[in-house]
Amino acid sequence: MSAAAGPAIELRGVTVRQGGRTLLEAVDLTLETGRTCAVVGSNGSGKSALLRVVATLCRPSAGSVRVGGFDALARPDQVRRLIGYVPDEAGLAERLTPREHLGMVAAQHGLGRADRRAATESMLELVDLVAHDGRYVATLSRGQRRRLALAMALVHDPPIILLDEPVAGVDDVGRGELLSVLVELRSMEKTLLIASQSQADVADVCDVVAPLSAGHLLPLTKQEAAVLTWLEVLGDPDPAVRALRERPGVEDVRQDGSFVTFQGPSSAEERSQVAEWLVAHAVHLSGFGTTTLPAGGDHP
Amino acid sequence: MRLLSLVRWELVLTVRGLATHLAVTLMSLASVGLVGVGIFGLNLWSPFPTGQSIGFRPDAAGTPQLSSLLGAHRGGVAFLVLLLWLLLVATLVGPAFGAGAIVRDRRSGRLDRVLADASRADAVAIAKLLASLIPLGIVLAAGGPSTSFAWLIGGLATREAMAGVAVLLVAAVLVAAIGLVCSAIATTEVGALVASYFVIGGLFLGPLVAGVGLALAGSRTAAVSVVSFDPLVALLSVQTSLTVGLTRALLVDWPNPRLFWLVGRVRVPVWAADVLVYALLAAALVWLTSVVIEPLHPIKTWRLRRAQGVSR
Repeated sequence: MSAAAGPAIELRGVTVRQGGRTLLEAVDLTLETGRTCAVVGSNGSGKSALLRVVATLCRPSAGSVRVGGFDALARPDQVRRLIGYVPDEAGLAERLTPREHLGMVAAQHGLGRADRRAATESMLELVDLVAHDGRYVATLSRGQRRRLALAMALVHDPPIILLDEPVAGVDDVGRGELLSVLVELRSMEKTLLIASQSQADVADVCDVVAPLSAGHLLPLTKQEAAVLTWLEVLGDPDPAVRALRERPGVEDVRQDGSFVTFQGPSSAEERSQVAEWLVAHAVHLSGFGTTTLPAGGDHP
Repeated sequence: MRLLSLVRWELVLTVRGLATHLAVTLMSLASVGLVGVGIFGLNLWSPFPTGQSIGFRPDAAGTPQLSSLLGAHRGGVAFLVLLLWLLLVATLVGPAFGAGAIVRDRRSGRLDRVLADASRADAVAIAKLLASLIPLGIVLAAGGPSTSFAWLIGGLATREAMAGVAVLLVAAVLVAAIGLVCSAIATTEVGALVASYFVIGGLFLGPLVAGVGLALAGSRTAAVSVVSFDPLVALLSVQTSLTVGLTRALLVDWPNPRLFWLVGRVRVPVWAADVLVYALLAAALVWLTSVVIEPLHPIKTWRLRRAQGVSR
């Protein structure tokens, strides 16, 4: 399961043409180990093709693909051992149970009987499918199927995980559960490459965003979760709002009753200085704190 | 180990499908019905002279040549007819089991999933073939007992019966392999099924048509050799005296059929050579399937790898 040295994923000039259509055009992408990248684009932009190229399931017309240091064209078998792939279509057999699916995938990755059983149990728990482990997939909801697909991609503990539209068509509860698993994977230093139509869907879990349009990869942008600072003001909040709007480095000041929120200060120290500055301007605060605002999202 | 795991789960899926149970049930009913019709038919019409017991081998002198031949080989003829029936079933049912396998998996994303799960494409192809062969084998086994009817009316040599079964089984494997490769190439299940039947039709009728064409063109020796590769002829050729007799009775101007190939000093029966050819052909088709379903098969990527100077 050990990867060779170098970036986790490295694409150079990758072009994919199929049936007279260009799905990807000279795509360059480098993703360092332990980072999370979201490939964002509309339908037909080439997101799935990009993931399939990395997953060694699509032959590029030109360019080179290295995954975990291995050349994907020359050693697809090695690359497949390093990746866990969750396709857009979950690719599940309707007449197998979640436990059987996980056991099958674990066996394919060469896990012994005891390891298979342990990995299956832990994956069923991770994706909260223990209660449904004996049911045929045909009877599972879409969210449960997506979670099973994710568990199948993780059962052999791969260092690189590719997820194609992981939360598409999943309800809010299912989405929250899936995203919590992704956050956990990120904390485990796994390399995640996620394709999504909506940046907001995956904003909480990605480091960089790679916008993809008509097969062209646009410059990568760094994804930093915005920090929203909130204050609860005793008395009239208007002076606090006016003062904050005049202070350099403070942005998007809003008021809701006695609460005032703003963005801008990037460090805890700077935020404390703002609070002290308000107190110095005769603003009485009864509460002060921060919350993380989903990137690409709006004020709550 | 990984291959066995793949085969296991493919079989589980096949056995849990309705098609297998339906096919086995229909096959059992059809075979029982066929034997019933055969026994009933013997009561209405018999090639044997009236009053003879059923084990009697008639004298050729007093009966027409074909009737005499059929009467003398009644057990062998019945066995041949029943094997042809089973072969017909295999050609109809085999592609139905195999043709949808890869098309369905590709459409549902399961093929991607299985390949991405570190599965080798050749292992996937073999597992798919076995998964379609097992239910096909069960269907044939359900119809197999009907061949005992041949021993009810005189039987045939055990060696000939074994050879006939070998031809049937290997031809069934070839039929399933044809269904598999068509499933890998086609984009729809119907397309795969139609293509399978087209190719199998070519396999069964092609050598006969080519043989007739060659014979009409004057190449009789080549015609006999080409015809010998036909599965129907292979099935017939296991009973050499029946083959020769039928050829003389039905095809007056046709040269003697080929019964052996000479390999050095060894005489290889035509049916044995055909079994070998069908087995090799089936293996080649499984390999071809693996090439088709593996996106990064070395054959497909060699040009790109050469351009990059990457050696495998």
